[in-house]
Amino acid sequence: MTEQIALDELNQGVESTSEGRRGASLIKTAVLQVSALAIFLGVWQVLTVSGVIPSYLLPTASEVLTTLGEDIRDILSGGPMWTHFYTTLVEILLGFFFSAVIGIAVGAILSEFKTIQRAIYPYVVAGNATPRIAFAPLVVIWFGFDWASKVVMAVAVAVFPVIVNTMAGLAATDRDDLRLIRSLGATRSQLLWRVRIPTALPYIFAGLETAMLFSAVGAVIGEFMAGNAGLGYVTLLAQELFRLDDAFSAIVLLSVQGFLLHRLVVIAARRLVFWQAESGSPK
Amino acid sequence: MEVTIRDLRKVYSSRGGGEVVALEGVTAEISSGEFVTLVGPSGCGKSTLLDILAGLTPETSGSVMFGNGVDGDRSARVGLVFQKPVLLPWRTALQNVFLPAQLGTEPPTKTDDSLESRARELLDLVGLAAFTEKYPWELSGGMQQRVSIARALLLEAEVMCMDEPFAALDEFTREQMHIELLSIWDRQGFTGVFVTHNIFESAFLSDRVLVMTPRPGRVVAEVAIDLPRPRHKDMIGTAGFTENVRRIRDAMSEHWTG
Repeated sequence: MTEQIALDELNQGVESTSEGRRGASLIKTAVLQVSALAIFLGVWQVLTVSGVIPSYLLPTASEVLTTLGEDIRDILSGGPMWTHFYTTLVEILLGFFFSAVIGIAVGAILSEFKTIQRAIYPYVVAGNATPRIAFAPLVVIWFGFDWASKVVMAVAVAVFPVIVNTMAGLAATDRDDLRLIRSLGATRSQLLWRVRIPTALPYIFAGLETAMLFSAVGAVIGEFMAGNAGLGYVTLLAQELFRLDDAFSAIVLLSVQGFLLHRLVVIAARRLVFWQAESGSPK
Repeated sequence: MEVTIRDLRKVYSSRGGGEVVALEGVTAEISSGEFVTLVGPSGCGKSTLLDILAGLTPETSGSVMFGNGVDGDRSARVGLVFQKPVLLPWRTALQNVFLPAQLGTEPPTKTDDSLESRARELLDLVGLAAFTEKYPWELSGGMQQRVSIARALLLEAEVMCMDEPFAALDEFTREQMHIELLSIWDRQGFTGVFVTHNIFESAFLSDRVLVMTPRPGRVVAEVAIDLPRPRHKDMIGTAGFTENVRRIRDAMSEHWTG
């Protein structure tokens, strides 16, 4: 981030004025965002130090920041927090991976085979409407205390947006595109690979973005239910021990982890679906 | 390649169970290399007629014959240009023009290399030699439509069906496109079938205008345009041009009151 800003400052000197303006506006945005965070932390600090919010309900902002700093150092030096961080990371990524593979496969099968779609689509919708969290205790019984139950929870939560978006994407081909392709005598598989799949990609990636976030939710729920590792487990344990600063620190780490993983999907989408931003429409 | 249309009828079944007659008794002969416009108000079946020519929808009865042969595979001989450019946004201009070579059950008779160089030539022909590697969103509306014309020409279509291809363009760009289309037509020698609801456009482009009226869609009159070729912008507004427009309009109002 700082590198980016420094570069933009440099650009201001040498590039055209519009580049310079863009750099200035980036700096402005960064200043605004840092200020907003500082105000938030300041209000938090004042409310907790003054006792308006008692310390057994909310730790002070400075306590949380200190603990967070220690935790980050621990992660970087490969301490116990690193194990928790890494455990959750692997659970989320596995959950995401299986959600993507299963979701795209199921979505594609449902949209290609109309009989299967008619037979089971209502149950997919019902499954999507079911609070899958309710299955968490059962999932632990079925898949044990280890990572498997967390990954299964993650997939249970994250797979549906991928299924639904894959179906929507494969059905999104424009009527004019279909006329053109048919007038050129395309076969069914040419239509699928040359037009329908590229058309579906932006939709699928939108589903994958959601899936990454949902996968993190599912993994943490899994850790709440059972096990002895992971940032969700740390959060739960710290709350039980009334070490609220530890709990908050772990939540911030989860949030940062989720944010970065989500960014990865967004960046991959921009690379692969490069035409989406420019062409405006979800094509 | 000449096109012979005989007693063409097209009936759609509507949702309520009734029938809508989109085309009734349409008969027309289009000579090889001729430029013919189908002009008429909305609902007169001009687009349906074009779809039948292009093989996108089957006729209910009657026949369409290309050249002297029986009606066989139409897609190979007919190029299509739509109102929207219908370019695939993940393909460059060149890749979009090349698309027809990658579709169909039979491999193209020519090699990919020669078709790719033909795609380049066509982009050059429509004035986009410098834009081969650009994506559709980097091109203006007029440029996009030029790409779609080049695409329709890739497999050397002998009949070009154009469904209001310039309707979405602004007035200035449209005039420019008229001139360019006629010059491409002149050089490529295809048979042109152009659909529009714009009487001026039909008069400017055509050798002959087929006037259509709705409910049911019929060809009610034929107006031969007696303007010399090549056409140029200065002709618009001349007495001769206005006279041709008036004859199309009269033919229309004689059979249809809106």
